[in-house]
Amino acid sequence: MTKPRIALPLGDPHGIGPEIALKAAADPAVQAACEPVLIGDGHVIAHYAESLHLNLPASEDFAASPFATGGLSQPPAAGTVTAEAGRATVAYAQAAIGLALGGAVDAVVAAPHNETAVAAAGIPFSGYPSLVAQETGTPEEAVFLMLVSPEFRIVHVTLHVSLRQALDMITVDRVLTAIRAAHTTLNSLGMAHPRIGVAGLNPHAGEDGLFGEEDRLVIAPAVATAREDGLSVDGPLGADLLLADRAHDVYVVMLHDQGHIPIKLAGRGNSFGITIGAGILFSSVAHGSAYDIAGRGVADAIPFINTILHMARQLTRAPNLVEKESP
Amino acid sequence: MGDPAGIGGELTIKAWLARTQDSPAFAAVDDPDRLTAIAESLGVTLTMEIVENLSQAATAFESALPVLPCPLSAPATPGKTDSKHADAVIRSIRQAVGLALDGEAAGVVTNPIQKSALVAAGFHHPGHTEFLGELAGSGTQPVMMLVVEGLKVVPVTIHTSLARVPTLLTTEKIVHAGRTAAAELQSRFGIAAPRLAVAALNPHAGEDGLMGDEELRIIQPAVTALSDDGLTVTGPHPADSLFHADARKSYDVAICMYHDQALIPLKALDFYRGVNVTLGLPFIRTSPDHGTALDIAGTGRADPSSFMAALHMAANMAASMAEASTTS
Repeated sequence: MTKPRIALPLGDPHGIGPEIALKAAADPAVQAACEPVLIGDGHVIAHYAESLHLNLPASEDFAASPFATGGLSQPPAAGTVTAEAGRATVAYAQAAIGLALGGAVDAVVAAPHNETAVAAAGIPFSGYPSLVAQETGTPEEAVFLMLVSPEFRIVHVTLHVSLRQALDMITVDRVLTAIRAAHTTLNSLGMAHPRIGVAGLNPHAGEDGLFGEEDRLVIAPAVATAREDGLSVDGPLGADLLLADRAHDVYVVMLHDQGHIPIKLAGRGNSFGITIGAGILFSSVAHGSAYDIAGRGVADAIPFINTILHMARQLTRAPNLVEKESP
Repeated sequence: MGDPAGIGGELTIKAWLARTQDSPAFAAVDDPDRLTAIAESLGVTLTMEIVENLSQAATAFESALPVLPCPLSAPATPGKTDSKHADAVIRSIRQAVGLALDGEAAGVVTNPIQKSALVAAGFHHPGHTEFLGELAGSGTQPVMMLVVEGLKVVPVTIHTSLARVPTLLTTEKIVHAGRTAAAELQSRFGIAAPRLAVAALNPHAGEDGLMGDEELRIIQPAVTALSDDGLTVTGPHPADSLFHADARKSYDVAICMYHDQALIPLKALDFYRGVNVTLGLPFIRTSPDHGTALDIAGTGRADPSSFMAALHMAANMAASMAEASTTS
């Protein structure tokens, strides 16, 4: 089997992004699992490679890398918020998303951005997932977070909103869109007929309307439509029983905590998130651009490396990863 | 007895058949004829002894399943609930609670009931827990706790639609749940200084009001009040950070805001041996954390693990209480 190609946009060139991306690209485990493709200004990569004495892969591999030009005109100034760095951050991510859309890479794992720098560039930006939506022409409400752990793949219909707001957002359309996104994503991961389990919103999935009507009136119709489309879907079932059963390839849950509780129960690490629904596989690390230590060569690349390895394993359907520990 | 159409009788019989020297002695408050019929359908040899009180039961237990008769007015069909059994179902609960209130029984373990079959007979309580609260006397506000090895959770709201949860949650309810849990962990679980962890309602505990304000308005004041009581309490915690192995070591009970928040981690940790404990009653009451399982009643496939865990927990709680009263 050929190794998957994974694009690594550098993130904010003044943060630790380029450093951890370079460290990851040079990591033997990463190189064994995939073909990493650094996406960023060539001179930024060269700068950090030299100043931090990072071991890079052989130069001919890099010649093949489709560097994006982010428009960073000066050598990077680590730890400094500038509009140019913010603009470059977005340009790197856009270039990587473009490659994924065109099929030149199988997935994108982005290094951290700095929201202040992007804002200084005057670019409306509320995180990578919304940029993925925008760049792929996908409505933001059709983009979902799928968390992956050794035990679960869980797609969240609602995410970072209050419980009250989540209740308003759960519609037949949205649930159906999430089910379809789950199906399509698992197709792209090599599973032609994934079994999808859909959680209820209320206790015991409402118990026939006794504890709330949403399961009957909103979730069940979405499941029915997905079944008519030929998808293999069960639900809505009480989230506690459904998730304990583990009989499905992917779960669709209604609330942030319904999905995050079981994922994190198994341990702090060993899970990662993929932005799905936009036709590409996009991930990033949970930590920020750490301006305070940028440019010093001390940034811990392990979380970023683990995310790349997780993504590579999903793409090759290798057994799920047990993460490396940071030093 | 529980609902005679459910798996309760099968669980009782299987628990007695599985007895060892360490098993707590118990008596079934049940219809002897129905237990005989169930034993026959299971293809097991069951020796029963009709007893009049629990001291007879304790003597008989090793060689026979002791039964305090609670006759049905008509035979029961597995899987088919019938409101004409409601009277016996309720009588069985009353009888068992009476024995516990008199101090004759160390505790009550209830088999699952089917509420719909009782409503027709005038039963107006949302469930067992509330009915037991009424039997215990006025002013009793029972609190449900669910227990598996390594995790105890108290859901402050339980069988209600999620849409009603933000309205139903009050500082008083959370404080009552916390106080009741702390008191009972001391008196009946042998935990001298219980540590409480209170879960948030919203993702990331609301992020200072960014994603919901129930943490600031309702939950934080409850944590403060519990802390002012001198209790060891932390929170509101983002619920997803509360249940991994390291986090679970940092508290004795998690106070949760809604059903799934409490039940997802519980069922994930141990699907088969969860026990439901009613806190705040003047007697010990436990039950299996599953329902009547009408779909498999009469098939012999019922798993007695949760019921047996409930029996053991009631016995352990009684032992803890006895120990506390000798040392004090």
